Amino acid sequence: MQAATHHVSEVILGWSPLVVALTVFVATYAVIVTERINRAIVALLGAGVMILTGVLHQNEAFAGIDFNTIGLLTGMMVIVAITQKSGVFQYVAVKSAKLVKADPWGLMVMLTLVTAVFSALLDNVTTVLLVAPVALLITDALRLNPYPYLFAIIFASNIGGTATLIGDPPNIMIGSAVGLTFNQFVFNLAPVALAALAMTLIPFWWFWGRKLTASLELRAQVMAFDERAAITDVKLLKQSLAVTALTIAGFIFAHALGLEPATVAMTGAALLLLRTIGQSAEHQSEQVHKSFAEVEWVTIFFFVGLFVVVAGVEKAGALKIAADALVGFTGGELALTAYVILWASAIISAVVDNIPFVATMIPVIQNLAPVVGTENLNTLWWSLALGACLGGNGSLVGASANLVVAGFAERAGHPIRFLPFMLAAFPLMLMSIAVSSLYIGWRYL
Amino acid sequence: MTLRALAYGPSPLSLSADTPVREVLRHMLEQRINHVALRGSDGRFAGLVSVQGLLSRIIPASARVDHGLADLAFVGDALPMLIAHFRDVAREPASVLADRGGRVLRSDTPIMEAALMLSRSPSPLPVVDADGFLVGVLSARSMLAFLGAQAEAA
Repeated sequence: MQAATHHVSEVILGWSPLVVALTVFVATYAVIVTERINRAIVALLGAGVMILTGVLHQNEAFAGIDFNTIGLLTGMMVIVAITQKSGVFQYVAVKSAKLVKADPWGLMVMLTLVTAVFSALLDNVTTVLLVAPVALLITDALRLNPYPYLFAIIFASNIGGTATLIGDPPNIMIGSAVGLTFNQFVFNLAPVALAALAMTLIPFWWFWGRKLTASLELRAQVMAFDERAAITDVKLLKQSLAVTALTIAGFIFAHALGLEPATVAMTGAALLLLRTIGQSAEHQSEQVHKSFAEVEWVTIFFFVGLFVVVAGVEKAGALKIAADALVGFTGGELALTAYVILWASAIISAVVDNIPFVATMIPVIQNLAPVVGTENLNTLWWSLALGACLGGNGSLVGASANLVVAGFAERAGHPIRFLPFMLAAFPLMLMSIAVSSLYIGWRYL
Repeated sequence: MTLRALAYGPSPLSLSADTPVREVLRHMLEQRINHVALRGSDGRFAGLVSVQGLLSRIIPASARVDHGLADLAFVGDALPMLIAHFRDVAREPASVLADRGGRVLRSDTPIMEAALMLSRSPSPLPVVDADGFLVGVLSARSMLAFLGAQAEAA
């Protein structure tokens, strides 16, 4: 049976592999965009069709799956799922609010910074799920409109996630595919992420911050919060912080040690799961089940399917054609190519999921190596990362974290509507891309 | 066999859905009742308000909703916040508190289905007729009493 499969070198019915692959690719992405069917289902179906129609052999499909990305995502999800039970995120959020004495503008700045830092080290969705409720509680206590704070949290999560290898799925995918290290992401993207964050605070202050007020009485109420009571499990807190620190250290030294990020993340997750040692086998099993249940398997399988779909179009040659078209448009000139990738990535990522977009662009950019020179490819990778990550701020559908905050806000009685959000967010996103353009021009061109 | 075979408890106090929550609470406290039925402008059943639902509404939304805060121990007493919420909720019409979870029995609901719904409900369930008018409430105790009598008779 396996031998028969290997002999199927033509696409079904003798159709052109390019046509079949592109049809599956476009259909998959189109259905994903409509959000009528769960995206993991769509991606897996698309992957299945790529194999069943003969575009990909099964071993090629498996080879197309970036297990380093899968392992990194899974490992970090387990670590965060366990760590959040300690209450540390609530502790940090409350502590930071008290550091600024519950001043409304100070609170916005602190929540922005806290969200950005967490997002740089953890996945954005989990970060906003942990910070948004505390933000809502504090604004509730101060009798403030929570909308500006939730808006700031959305922006901070995407900007913060831009700064590191592990902060946002596009960076994980780029780093894994190209071999860029945690340190390289920090050295190259953290500065511009910081600049973008600082620049974004200016309009935040102008439109909201300078008008936000809260009485001393209400601020005293927040100052009376006891952040230490937010820590529900001190032992877990110590274990989680230790493993998180070890994991980040692992990322920093991974390249020197010849390790992939997935190895670091999965080992960290396993270490943290080891905390159940000494308990009964049944209790251990229950804890492990609960921890793994918190992994976003929908996201993981979405990635699996997506990688196979992209492998299909790559094998069919579609992405080489796209790369040639890009070279034709830019003349292969590095600066223009970098700016086109940056701005196009940003605008596209604002309206469609940036993960499929980046998955498609990675082979396209790899195909540009002969034209721009391998030594210059990193410029294009940073452009793609900045555009894809920061572009997510352009609309509510630009990033998963945006939708999560919007969903939470709606349930809490403070809906964030699509159009009003986009009218404010899109120009701010463009501003961050302008900052990124200046940075790329200054540093790499 | 449907619920028509069972003896319903008396209908709870029924008030207009537009009644301010403040008034609803006053009735609950004066008459020492935990539930008040609401009726729409057409007299039809418009939901049940419970003391638990009212208290839940006063709790900060950040803890009340899905994926919200799991506990508020770090907030302390926060009495001013609770009082402020209480005042906000008291002004609202009772309809905002109506339990819209669909936990309503109809007089033609089969006994098994009714037993299942009661087993999942912490409080008695309203019973409405085919036209949507409230005819009584059914509690888990009433269901058990009925089943016990049926078992003895069989």
